[in-house]
Amino acid sequence: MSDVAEHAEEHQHPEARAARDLSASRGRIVFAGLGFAAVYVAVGLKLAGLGMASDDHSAALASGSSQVSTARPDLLDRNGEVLATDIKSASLYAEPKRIIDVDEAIEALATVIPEMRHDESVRKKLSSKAGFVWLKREVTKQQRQKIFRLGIPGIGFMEENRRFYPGGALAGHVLGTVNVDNQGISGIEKYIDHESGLADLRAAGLSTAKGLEPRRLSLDLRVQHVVRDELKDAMQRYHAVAAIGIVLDVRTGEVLGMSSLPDFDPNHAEQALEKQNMNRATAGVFEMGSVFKTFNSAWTLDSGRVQLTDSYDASSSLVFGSQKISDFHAKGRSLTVPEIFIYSSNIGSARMALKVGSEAQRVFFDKIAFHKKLETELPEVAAPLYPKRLSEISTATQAFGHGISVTPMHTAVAGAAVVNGGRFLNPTFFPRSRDEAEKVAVRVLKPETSDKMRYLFRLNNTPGSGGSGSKADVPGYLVGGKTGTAEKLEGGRYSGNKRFNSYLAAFPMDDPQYLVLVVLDEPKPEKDVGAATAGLNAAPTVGAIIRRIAPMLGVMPRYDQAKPAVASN
Amino acid sequence: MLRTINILLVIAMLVGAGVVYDLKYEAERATSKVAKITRKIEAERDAIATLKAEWSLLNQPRRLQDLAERYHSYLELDPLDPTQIGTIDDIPFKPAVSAGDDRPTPPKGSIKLAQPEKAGEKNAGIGKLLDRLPGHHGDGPTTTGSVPKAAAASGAPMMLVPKIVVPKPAGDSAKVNR
Repeated sequence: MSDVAEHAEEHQHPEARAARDLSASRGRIVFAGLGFAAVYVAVGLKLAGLGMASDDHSAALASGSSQVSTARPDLLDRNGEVLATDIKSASLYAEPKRIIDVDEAIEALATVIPEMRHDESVRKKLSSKAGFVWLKREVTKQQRQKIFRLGIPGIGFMEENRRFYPGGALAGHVLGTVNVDNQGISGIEKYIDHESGLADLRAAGLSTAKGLEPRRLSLDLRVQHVVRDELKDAMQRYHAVAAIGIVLDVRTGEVLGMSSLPDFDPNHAEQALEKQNMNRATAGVFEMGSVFKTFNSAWTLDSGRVQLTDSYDASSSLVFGSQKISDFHAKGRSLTVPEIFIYSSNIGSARMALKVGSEAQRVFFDKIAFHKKLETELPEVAAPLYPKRLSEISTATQAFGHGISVTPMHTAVAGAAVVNGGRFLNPTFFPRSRDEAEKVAVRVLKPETSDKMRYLFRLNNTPGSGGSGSKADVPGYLVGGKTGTAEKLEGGRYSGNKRFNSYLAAFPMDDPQYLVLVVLDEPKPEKDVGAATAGLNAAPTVGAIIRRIAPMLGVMPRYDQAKPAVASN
Repeated sequence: MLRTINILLVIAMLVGAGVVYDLKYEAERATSKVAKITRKIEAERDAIATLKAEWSLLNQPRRLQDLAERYHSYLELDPLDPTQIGTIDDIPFKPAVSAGDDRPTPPKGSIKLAQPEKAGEKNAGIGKLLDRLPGHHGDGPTTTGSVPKAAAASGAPMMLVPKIVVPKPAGDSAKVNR
């Protein structure tokens, strides 16, 4: 249209004027055009922006809950029972800057949480100039709803993950603890953080709530309970200061139960720091005493230089310079190898070890990890203490478990190797199949030696044999085992009345499946019983545990079974 | 001609704008719906986790043992004794003529079916079952007690079992036949 007007003007006015008008109006038109174009571009850009933007509010709400809290995978036992899980809890926070009237806010909050009315710290927090303060961690759902309805400005909730252990102290030492940020600081909790790279993810500022597969452990909740229950009982009955119990699957090296009393409730992580609550099963080293005669018999028999039918003089004490080795249950005569085992003769054991030699003993102890930390998932593992220099006296004392300190777990694992056909398996807290175990097993003994050891174990446990473990027998399950009554070192001397008792047992002895180790620290004699040897306290505890766990583990009792076949020779 | 095209274009533009507006609005509604459902799922998931935790808390062996001990006079639940465990092979065959039993003979193999699985075949199976079985409080031949209980345990909820075992004076044979 403007073109038409311009053409009309050209015809009506002189040339010069028309040219001047034309150039002036063209400038204006271009200017106006550019202005409009700019406006349109701006509108277009804004539209495009709006079109691409998502629904911020809802999205933020939806993802908010997963961003605030750090999640951990659930821990399950071998049957899928929950050992540790995350539960969401809401925590009450305030933004003091946004609070209009502190008194009114406190008054309103007190209608839901009464103790807030007189809590000076709450008032102080709310009157401060801080941007964000926690008022109460972990409020209940009902409280949360009520406070929500009050509609106090500047008060809000944030969802947090909190680690919860339904079993309480049940498996505290295995599971470990988490800190306030839900990061594993001990036990399996620490292990899974490192293994799965959770720790690294967190360090990078990422915390994924979803896609965390629950982790299954090798523990059996029921076995764990039985072990702890019986240990607790034993601690009370014998007034022991500590008790340790371990149940292993000897075929796979899986730990089915591990308890060390006194223990702690991982729901209250601060209890874990008390020294008396330490994990003695894998992080404490002890002179295990006579249970070592198991390993002594095993490696000496394995060498072929000691036979089951051999006899050794145990009539008089063995003297090394100023030190003297004597027997607790002295028989005053020479004893056969099985007799040395069941009467737990120190002299006989020492003579057996000396006959084969220090070097061979060291090699065998090396093989069954008595000289190094156990390779397992639990971070709390202690290194054994042993004499660095070979000597006759150390060989003799190590034969019956003195002069060398290992963890109870070392003892249990080595015991498993002795009865399972001579294959050493590092203990694991995660499920391990028989095939996998086959791959990682290391042969440390000949199968025949293991057979002989099983015979000795069973002999020691058979009622009527005079064996020290007869009180651990459970009819039907063919239990076999070895006692250990070690005197505790006190100020450099072995104390006569402070003992460290243990019982290492496996069942059923004709085809060992499970191993049970019980250790009682400083048990006192029962009222009408004079002594407090392992056969009188640790052994019955093992018996009680086996009686309860064997049916759970599917071991069928057998009554018509003859004694296990005696190995030839 | 030109005018018609113009009018058509204007109409097309208006329709287009309307459709786009509607689509956008629809999309927004869908987004907020998705967000709402996601939140709901999250809440449900949390609730499930909490319930699971509660369940395992209530199901702790420690707690169950305490309850069994406290209500021992009523429940008569005792720890299982190894002598109470038996297999199907321990049960004698039913005599060909059953005197006094007027019930129809069960079809062949029903006992085998009632037994959830052959004991000892699977490691955890029987152990798990026996673990949950109520203690056998009779003093008769013990192996007989395990079969009907095992059968009951495999189907019915565990808690019902003790209530069935209330008639005490009944002898062992009565228990087997129930």
